[in-house]
Amino acid sequence: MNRIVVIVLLVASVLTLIAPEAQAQSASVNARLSATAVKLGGDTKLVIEVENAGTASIVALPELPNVRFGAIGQPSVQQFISIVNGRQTQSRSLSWVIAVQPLAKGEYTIPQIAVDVDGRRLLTRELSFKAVEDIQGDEFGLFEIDAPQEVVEGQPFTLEMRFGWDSSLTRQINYAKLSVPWLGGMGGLLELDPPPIPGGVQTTQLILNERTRITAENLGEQKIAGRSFLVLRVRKRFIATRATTLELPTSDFEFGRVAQDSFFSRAEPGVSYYKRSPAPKIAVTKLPTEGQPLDFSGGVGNFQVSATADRRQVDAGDSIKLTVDWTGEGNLEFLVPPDVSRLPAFSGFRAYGSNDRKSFERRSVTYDIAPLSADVKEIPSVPLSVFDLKTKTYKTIHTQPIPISVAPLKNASALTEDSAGRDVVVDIRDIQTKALGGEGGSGPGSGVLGATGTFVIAGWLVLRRAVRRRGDPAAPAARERRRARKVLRRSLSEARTASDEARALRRFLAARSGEPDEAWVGRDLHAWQLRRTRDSAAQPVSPAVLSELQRVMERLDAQTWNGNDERLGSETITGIADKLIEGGL
Amino acid sequence: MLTRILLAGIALTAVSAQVQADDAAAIAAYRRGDMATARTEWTALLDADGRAPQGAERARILYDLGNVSFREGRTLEAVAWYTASLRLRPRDADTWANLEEARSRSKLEPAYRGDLSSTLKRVVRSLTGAEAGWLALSGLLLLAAALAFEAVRGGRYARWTAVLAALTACVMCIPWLDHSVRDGSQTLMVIQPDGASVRSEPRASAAVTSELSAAAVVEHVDELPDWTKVRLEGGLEGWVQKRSVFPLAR
Repeated sequence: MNRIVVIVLLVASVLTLIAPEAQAQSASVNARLSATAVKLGGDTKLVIEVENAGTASIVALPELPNVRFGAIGQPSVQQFISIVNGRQTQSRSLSWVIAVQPLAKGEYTIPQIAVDVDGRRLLTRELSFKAVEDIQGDEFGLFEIDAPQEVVEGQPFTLEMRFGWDSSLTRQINYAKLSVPWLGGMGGLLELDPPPIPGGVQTTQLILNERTRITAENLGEQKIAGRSFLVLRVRKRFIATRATTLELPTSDFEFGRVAQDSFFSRAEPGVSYYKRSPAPKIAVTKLPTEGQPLDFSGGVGNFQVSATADRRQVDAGDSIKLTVDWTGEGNLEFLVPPDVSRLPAFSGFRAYGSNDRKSFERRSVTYDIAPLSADVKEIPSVPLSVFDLKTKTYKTIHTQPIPISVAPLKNASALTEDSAGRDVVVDIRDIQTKALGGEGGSGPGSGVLGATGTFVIAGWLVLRRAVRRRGDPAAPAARERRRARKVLRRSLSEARTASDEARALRRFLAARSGEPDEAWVGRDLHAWQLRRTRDSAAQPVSPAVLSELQRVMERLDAQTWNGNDERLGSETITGIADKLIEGGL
Repeated sequence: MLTRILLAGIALTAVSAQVQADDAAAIAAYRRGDMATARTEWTALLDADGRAPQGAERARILYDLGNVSFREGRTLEAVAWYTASLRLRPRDADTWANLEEARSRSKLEPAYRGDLSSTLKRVVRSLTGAEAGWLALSGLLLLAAALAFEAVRGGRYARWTAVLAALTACVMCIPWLDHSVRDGSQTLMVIQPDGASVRSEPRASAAVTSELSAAAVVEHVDELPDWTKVRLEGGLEGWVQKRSVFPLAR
């Protein structure tokens, strides 16, 4: 008896290693229907499973019009023992089977059903089914399922569903649906990534379980039992997570023609055909505990292994990337690859780490290792302990040793085992015996900063007021006055004639004096000076500058009116303009 | 007069020589593993009237005292010494490295977490008090120039320049304002690994009104021989045992 318990415990511990989902001890609720197409008068079975639960009860069944639910009854109970990281845990699975009978034709959706599990309320998923008057068309359809009859815990397997219709109906078929009620709702079964669809194969999107879509491979017409069928295929990969018998309910393939009403033709009535699949059983057996090695990796399958090194001639201490590839059919995603730093054969190496890559058909681990001395002649073989499905025994698969040439380090001692084993720790930095940088003198105090801030604001206000007493500096006239010299230079550079230059000079004088341009045509400058100094406190322009301006203006007029209109030159005009600005204009 | 100046110079030289001798004695004690003597010498230097080092030299001694606490296994106290040192010398790489290591050993989250808030805080506090003051003064002078331009020229362009300069000056004043606020209040750090209980009165039997976690920073309010009155972030005041807190302004 004790032996049986020990065996159960050991098997359970392996199971937890290879089936990550089984490690999660939180309760979960699954629900599925035994058939999603039901003939009126018949019924389908609603299966509700609660995993990892102590106690559970269904709160209430929903009320659906034209649907009759059977009695809830007592659940069947299964108990499991598992060990996770040396800690023993127990879990129970409870399941109810409830008959569901439709009373009228139609499509039905069973809403989420509340289940109280260990004081928490969990909900099932929604389930849909269809009630039809007659499940017809069995003779026109094809639905086969290829599934292994027996697997061991942790063994991945592929389940292939082939379905289709008689190719003579192809022109009449315009829809197809697949109902696989156990998909995603089967306890003890973990779905893996599906096998890749071969290149060049056409695919078709089907409605799955009235809710989602699934991609099916279109295999074209095939002869089966002397008849020609248009065959579609769906392949799924699973891993069995506990020892039990998986009884997969029947699935339905519905195909037919949706009624179509065309503008040009009469409406055609719709028709639906159903083909029901067989209900395969898969026996999941326990991994044998006898002969199980202590370093069992959890790998179950038929594996091959190979190893490559990126360099084979290195100096002691140089990094070598050793890549080990495990291929074959098995749970490559779930096995635990060996840690070379713990393998005695690798004592001549320092292991820096590894890079692990997983895929459906390959597990590839690259180890970063460095030989410690020139005495190392080869990279030893990397072992992996697995359960071989062909022989049904445990065995260890090895990579081939890879010869390498290690040169001693020049002018340096090679890494030694002693240094390899020495721990490097993080420590604080040493004390400082003299100050390194830091506070360089004293900065301005709060008083200085406060006074500066106050002075800046006050100064701004005072200056602003003083400036604006003479007018707004941002007014157009003030801006023109400021820009007058620049505008004059630009106008003179563009001037082609003396009249252009005269116009530019008048514009400059107008901008600086605040008068219109026309006021400077033929003006008596001395009279202007008299009036200006009399009417305002403006600084008088020196008489010499005024006389020079008068001469320039007269020369410009002369040039303009003597017929040749030749330019006077910008130097002369800008010269007098500068003198006028300096003189207070 | 000349004699007085000469006497004062001689006295200063003597004081400086004494400080160097005490410091050398502390370093020698640390090197031979005599942490107690190193602590005593450096602490005495910090508290010495008239000859206590200031600025970077003071920050260096605070850092060394942090190493002493660390070597004695008092990592939380080391965190406090390093934090105090960083207030005087905020960009010292050694102090930052040791602070993070001490915080890690004390199972505290890093002082610099690398997120936006932590980065901004570190940038603002990366200047010493003097540097922050000069930066603020530069900001004010920039503002003065922009305002003068606005006063003389007027117009939209000048106004926007002034607004921009005002904002820049505000940003440049932030480190100084931060220093002013921090220097104005004496902060304490909890250095008991289990934290500290805040009591309503300075008695061990008084009701506990709040619990402070290790390395929590609170404000100093008042003091009795064995008790310190502190103000928590939410404004709550209470008494904690003096040995459980460490003044960061050193």
